[in-house]
Amino acid sequence: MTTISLEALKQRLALIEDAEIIDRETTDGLRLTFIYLGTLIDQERLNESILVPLVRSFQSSVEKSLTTAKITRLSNLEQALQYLMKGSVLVHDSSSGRWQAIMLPNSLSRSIETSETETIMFGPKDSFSEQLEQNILLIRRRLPLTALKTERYSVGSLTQTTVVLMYIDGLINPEFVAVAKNKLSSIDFDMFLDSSHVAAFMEDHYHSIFPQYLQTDRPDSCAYSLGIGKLVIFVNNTPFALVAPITLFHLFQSPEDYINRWLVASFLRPLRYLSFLLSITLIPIYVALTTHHYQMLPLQILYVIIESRSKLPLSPFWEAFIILITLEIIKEASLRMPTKTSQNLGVIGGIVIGQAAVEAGFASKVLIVLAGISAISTFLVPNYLVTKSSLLLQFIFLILATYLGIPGILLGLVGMFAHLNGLTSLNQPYLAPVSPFYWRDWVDLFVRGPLHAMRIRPEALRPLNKYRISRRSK
Amino acid sequence: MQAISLFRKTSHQESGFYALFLTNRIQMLYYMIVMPSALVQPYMLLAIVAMGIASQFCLYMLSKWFATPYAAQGYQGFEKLFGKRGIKILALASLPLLLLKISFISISYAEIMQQFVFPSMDREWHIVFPFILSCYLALFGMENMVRFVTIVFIGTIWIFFLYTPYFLVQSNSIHDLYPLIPIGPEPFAWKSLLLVFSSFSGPEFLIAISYWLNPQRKMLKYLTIANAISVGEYLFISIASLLFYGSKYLPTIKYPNVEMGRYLQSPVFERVDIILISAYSFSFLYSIALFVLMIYGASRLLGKTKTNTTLIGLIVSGCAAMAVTLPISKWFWEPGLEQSFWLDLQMWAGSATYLLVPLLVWIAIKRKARTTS
Repeated sequence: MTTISLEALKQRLALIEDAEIIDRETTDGLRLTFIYLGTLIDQERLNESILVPLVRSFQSSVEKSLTTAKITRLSNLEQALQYLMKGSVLVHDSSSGRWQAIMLPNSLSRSIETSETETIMFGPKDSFSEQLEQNILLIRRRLPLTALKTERYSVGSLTQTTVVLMYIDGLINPEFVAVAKNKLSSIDFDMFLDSSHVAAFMEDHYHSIFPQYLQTDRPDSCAYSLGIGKLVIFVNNTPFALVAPITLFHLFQSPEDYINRWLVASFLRPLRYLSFLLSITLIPIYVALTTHHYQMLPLQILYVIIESRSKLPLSPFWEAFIILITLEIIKEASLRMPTKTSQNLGVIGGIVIGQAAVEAGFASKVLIVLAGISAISTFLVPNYLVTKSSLLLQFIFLILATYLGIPGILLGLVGMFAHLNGLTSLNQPYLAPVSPFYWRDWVDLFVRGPLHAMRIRPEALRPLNKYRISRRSK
Repeated sequence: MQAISLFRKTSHQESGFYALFLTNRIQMLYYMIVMPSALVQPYMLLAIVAMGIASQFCLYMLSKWFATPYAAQGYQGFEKLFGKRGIKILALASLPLLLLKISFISISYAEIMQQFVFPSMDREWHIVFPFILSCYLALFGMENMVRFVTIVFIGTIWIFFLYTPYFLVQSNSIHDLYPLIPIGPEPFAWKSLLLVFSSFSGPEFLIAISYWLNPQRKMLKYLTIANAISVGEYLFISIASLLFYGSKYLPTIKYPNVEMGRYLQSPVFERVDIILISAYSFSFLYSIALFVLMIYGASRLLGKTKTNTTLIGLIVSGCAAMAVTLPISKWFWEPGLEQSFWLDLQMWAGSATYLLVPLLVWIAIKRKARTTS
């Protein structure tokens, strides 16, 4: 380890325009050197809370002069540089030769805003921001517990990204924490600019198209997850927290489920599962029926389809493929384009797909209707990553339907469920509580039972404290 | 070749539900489709109840095995009970039976698929595609396979409820179900009885996977429930067939259950049976995958058990099963022959294993208990 010297520091800070090195002498005669990066620290606080009190001080050391500041004594150059790059002011006392660091990070951040990815009508409106401490605060406000533990890790050789592991001690199954710690400690990569990068390195099956960590920017959702025995991972500079272990069914749950009346929520949740299935199978079913199983359709519907397809030069597969690809191009373009022009895109897309494609003979009216239903269905799934996954699944099912018809779609479904059954999140089964079978958890699975009925935490998570109610009142 | 752990066990969840679902799905595998054509007289419904009770006896013996500590020990348990040579003999004997079962169910299902869904496609393709998917299923290992049965159960049990309308048809008469006791001298329908008993067979293979089922003392309860559900389902489908076709017309139909599906209609689909047949593939694919894994397990017992399981080993097992199935389908599954020979063969083999395997294990447990005490 290299010892700290002013020369060595100056050498490392060469060509860094915002690096500042200033010397001050205290009233008592202490000669102090302050080194910091002007853009990283709060300069106002530096003046008011550090420089002025120190210069006017009659004390013999920095620690005695600044009783309220958190001061860390530094022992080597690497440590000093680490503190410097994280928003600390390095203070060198030339008389004692000591090097100290005082954290003064620039609190530059955006205000707490409403979640854009998981919007709800009722319920809390706050969402996470890029500021790690602020995100932790939002959770601590909801769960004011000493048992709510936070452990810090640093990942990425270039980005030195701070990752915080959060869980409720004494409630969560320690196995999950051990696995997460092990995974976090073994991460070896240079850059982590987003929570999804961390998730990619912590996933058990990175080839799968299904996310194994729930990414959410809602503090209420995270607090609920912590309260039922999951852990949350925060990544600095990311407004999305990672929640694990999750199951496929968690991706279909919305915070609004627990705000709505339970009967209403129980109606909406199956609707989401159905929409997901529709989004991946509706167009393939159309292709299967029009390619292989005309006999399955009632005569009236058959007339409509035959009439609609009578002038089409393309086979059902190519017809569906072109429309689906066009639809995806429009969807992607609307996400990337500036807000003002994206509205025009919607109009153009609507006219091109809805009218021109039919008139030009590229697609049938029936397919346009089905493509519309299928596209809308994808948006019912609360998780954006699942919505994206469904696109790929749709194409796989389309190919299966083209060659094997309805049995092909069923084979695809079997394959999909087999794949899901083999997936794990933090080494926990992805299809619980269906497989493995925990029948008690079904009260909050396909339907959302009344809160009074959810007296125990999900059995699949094997929490240390399984009761959600006081045992005496039971 | 990359080492994969097909037979490892990580979870310790104790759930008799897997045994319940497995028993029920294996019992409802194929005979559900053909049985109504064999039980053409109303009084034969009693055969289902009688054979259900007989099946319960076999399940009772099976539960004795599950209650012993040997069941939870896997290979070591078998070794203690049968010895190394005994295991090898059992593994060797199980291989042809497993291959026969796989061949029979996959060809039968492929035939239905060809007849009702894809008449223009060769039957062999209906065997190859499911086999490939079954191997993919088996790739996830025994632990995942055992858990997967929950999804299979949920994915197929709803099919029976679609047959409810056959009980509600106005022209139905309770007299169609008479006589429940044969009047006059009837020919002894021992073959029908054997077929029904054979249709309840399959749970004996659970012995091979008892290690992953986390056996427990309450297993008899779950096996009994499964058996009761199977009896209920067989009765349900047989009564529906009798009400719909009548006992005179019923013997003329090869697949009464599937044909009935043709009369089910919905506002969107006129041929619901295509969906039902396709959905039922869930059970078949699962069973083939399970049996392929068992074949691989049995062949490992004959060779080196201490080496790691490999992907290639599993594929070879799957290919061996397919290599037996495809020639049977191509050259030995002739019209008429499939009913008179293959059905008879499977009927005898199924009945024999269902009776003898639990009995053998039961005797071995008794013998072991006597020698250790």
